[in-house]
Amino acid sequence: MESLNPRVRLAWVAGALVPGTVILVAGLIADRVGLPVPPAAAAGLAVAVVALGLAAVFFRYRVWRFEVRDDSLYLVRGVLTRVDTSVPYVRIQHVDTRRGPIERGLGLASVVVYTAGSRGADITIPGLTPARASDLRERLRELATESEFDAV
Amino acid sequence: MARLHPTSAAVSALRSGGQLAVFALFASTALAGMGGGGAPAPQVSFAVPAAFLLGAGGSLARWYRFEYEVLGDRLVVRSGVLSRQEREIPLHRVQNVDVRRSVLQRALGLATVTVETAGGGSTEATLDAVGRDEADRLREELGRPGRRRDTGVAQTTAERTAGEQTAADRGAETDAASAGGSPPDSETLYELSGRRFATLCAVSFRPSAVIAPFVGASVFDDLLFDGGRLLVRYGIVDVDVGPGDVPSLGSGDLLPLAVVGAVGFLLVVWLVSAALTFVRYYGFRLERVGDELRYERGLLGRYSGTVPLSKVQTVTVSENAALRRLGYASLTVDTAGYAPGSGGGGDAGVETAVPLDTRERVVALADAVRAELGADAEGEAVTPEDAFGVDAVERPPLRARRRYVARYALAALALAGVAVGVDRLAFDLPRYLPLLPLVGVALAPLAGHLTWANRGRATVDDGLVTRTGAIRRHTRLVPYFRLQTVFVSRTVFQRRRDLASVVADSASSSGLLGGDAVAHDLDDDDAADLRGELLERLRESLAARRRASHRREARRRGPTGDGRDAVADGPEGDRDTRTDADADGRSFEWVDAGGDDPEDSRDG
Repeated sequence: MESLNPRVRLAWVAGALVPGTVILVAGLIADRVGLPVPPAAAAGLAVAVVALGLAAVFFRYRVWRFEVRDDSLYLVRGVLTRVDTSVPYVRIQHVDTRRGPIERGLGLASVVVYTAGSRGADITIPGLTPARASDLRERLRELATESEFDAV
Repeated sequence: MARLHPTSAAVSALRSGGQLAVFALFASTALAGMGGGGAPAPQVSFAVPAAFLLGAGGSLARWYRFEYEVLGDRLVVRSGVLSRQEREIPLHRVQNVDVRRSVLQRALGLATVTVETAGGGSTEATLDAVGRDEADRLREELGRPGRRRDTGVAQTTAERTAGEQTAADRGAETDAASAGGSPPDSETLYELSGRRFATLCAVSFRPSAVIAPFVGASVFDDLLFDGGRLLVRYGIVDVDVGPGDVPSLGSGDLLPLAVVGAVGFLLVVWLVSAALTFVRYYGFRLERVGDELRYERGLLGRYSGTVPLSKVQTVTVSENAALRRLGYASLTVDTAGYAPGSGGGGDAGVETAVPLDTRERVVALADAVRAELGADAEGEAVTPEDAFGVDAVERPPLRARRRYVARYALAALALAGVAVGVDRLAFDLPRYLPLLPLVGVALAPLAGHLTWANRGRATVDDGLVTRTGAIRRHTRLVPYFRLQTVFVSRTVFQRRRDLASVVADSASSSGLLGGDAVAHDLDDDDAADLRGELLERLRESLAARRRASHRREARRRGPTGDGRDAVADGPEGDRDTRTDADADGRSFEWVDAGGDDPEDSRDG
């Protein structure tokens, strides 16, 4: 089982700060406008939300694992609800690598695997180095092609 | 290239001309009003006919520029007045062909034909509208690509593009059976009439009926007022008329009023549900024509459509509590055709194959569909293992039942807590009302047991069977070769009891509406085993289908002996199992038949 690059936590932390910041700003604005919202309460709530977010980041990183198995791509993820996903290579429609702005800043990339399913139509593996991501994409593409020809 | 029916051009010209004229009328009156003039300006009398002509002309131009044709193995649609669009749909990609005839269209002898392929945000082609005979012809032609055996480049290319191997073969068989182009045998599988229809109307619930009482209450408020007066006169409700004629109710009267209200509400919902069901399923019949199912229904508008059996993704037997008691069930087959919410006539996504029949007959039909799906792999129909039987599934472990009981009890307690809180802090509720949810705590064991008893899963020869739902029970079969992704998920509460749920994802369109095949609350180890088994069976099943399609291909090509093609088609052919639903979903593979036609310009 392979875990993600540790730097992905920074990307997630950035994401976890967003709701806290929104709450804080909203609280401060409300205070300015004169609504009875004590700034301390808004700050407290924001801190609590961020703390929860950070805890989630910690656990999410610990849980996230993936493995390129013989016949399927296998992933384990999820903090509260843990989900193990198996994507048979035969079912892979196409594979993307993706690099968002934050990921680019941190030198990371994601691989997105698409199937035709109605529920798990796209599955993202975040937190890979760009080299690993393009390796993985190529490997999955090969496996997807091979799996069509074997067992004839 | 053919155009749509001229009458439909006239109808839509009148409609869009009329719309624009009405708009012009309002706009010019508003403008004149702003101008402050008393009498309408002369422009108004000029603007309205001009707008009508503009709308009608635009509509006629659209009609004139809309052309379609079935060319070899493709449906070609050219449309657009200013920006031209040309769309080609390979016929073996077609999932469903539906024919809709509204009341007006029935009067004029018209029909709307819609063509669905997998994926894509919307219906791929809408022909609105063609003549009635033309609609039948189109359905015939689009529905069975395999029947059309053109020779030459187009044919070979079509088969190379990974598709309807199975459909083609089946089509070939059908062709052989009904030689000489005579229409294939159609066999009526099911007709809804008499008592069954009455039962269906009586027991089915349509969610849209819930808004009826609200609409009715606002329309018939006089009637309600009179009803209220009757309640008062017979002393069911006691009203003090306070100062200013404002009636005030004692808290003791709230309960009878609530009961009367609730009963009335339910009665109206029930009646409207029955009426909606009646209109929807009037004259329902299901036929089997060659290798596809064809349904027809509707009292006012007439809806009909085809479901190719080789495109079926999942098969579901559903029974609500009332139906179950009476020994009835309904059958649904899913294809990957419909995008969420796009289904014409409000039947988004799901094809109801049989709205109501005795359980045995429903299961028999479901088994027939399974046999058809299995036949692609085996070469001959086999009798499938019992999948929909009452005891066919294995229930979750007993500790799952404890979990359900605890869940319902906690929910009831929470509701009681909220009610007490509201009572203390906000309103004074009638005396024992806040404690009413506590009844739920007492009922929790029963509810938990029912939930548990109606859940289960089984792995049969041809697929995974999952069952869920205490009130409306769905038993769903996902053939192994339709599996896409397998999820094992465990919530915090499931982890505490070493339970896990397995989700078998397929490309069926009901999955988009929450109709996934979920095996709820298995033992953690069993869940892991099930996942392994599903993946293994998927592999085996695909391999078997591949071999079978290979064999059939060899047999078919045998006499003329074109070995190269058989080999070339082999690995491609099995892609049908993965692609017919799907690959094309995101990007069509357009067939360029020898370059005699312009390239597709879907995005043009």
